[in-house]
Amino acid sequence: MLGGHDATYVRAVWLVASAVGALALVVLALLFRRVRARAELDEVERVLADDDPS
Amino acid sequence: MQARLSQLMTMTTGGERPQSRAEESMLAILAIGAALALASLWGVAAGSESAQLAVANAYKVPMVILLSALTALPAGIVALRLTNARLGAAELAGAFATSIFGGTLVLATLAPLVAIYYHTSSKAGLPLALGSVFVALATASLLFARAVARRVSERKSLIAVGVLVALFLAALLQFVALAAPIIGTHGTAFDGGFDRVF
Repeated sequence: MLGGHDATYVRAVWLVASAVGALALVVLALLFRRVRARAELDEVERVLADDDPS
Repeated sequence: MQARLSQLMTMTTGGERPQSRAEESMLAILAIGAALALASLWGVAAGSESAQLAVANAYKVPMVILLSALTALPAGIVALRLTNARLGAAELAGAFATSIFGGTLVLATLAPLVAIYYHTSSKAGLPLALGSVFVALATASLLFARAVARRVSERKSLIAVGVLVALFLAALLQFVALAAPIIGTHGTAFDGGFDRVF
């Protein structure tokens, strides 16, 4: 019993919250792929800039 | 991956930060992923009284931490903006992510002790499991404040840290109640949420 609600209601709230959490995990995974690609690009640019004699 | 985890540890302990912003964001997301895995380990230990609870905790504990962080983060960013602090939102989120990683690292380190005491001591099992959570929370809060203080040495940014930590704890209390039982099948006083604790 939380906030006067029965177990079924509390369980439903937990399921909705879990779904939001799962969605956040998917977004984080997609974001990770994007920033990893960006970080690799930055690294290549830095190496090229270091090698450039001009 | 090992090099990245090593970099993450360096960042968490207040060492040198990555050169590019993209790399820092990548490490922050990696910190969240690693933190969830570490929290899962502690969840299995705390729920080892029954196989069903242990399996459920492997998913419930990381989810509780992730949801509490997601609930608290917007308020921290708003506090940052309202106080006109120099610290950026991404920097705040990055410091928050690494501090959560630090806290869950403490949880995972204490997980074997929690498991063995839960099975062998009727007096110390439950207090030790709860104690490990408080130690982890204190560690994470201190790491967070230190990480922010190293980025920008101004009091305004620390207000955002206080707001974020307070909201994280408030959200954690209710998400723990929603996901209960977590520690043992009989549960704790925290299983009733705010209404039972206060």
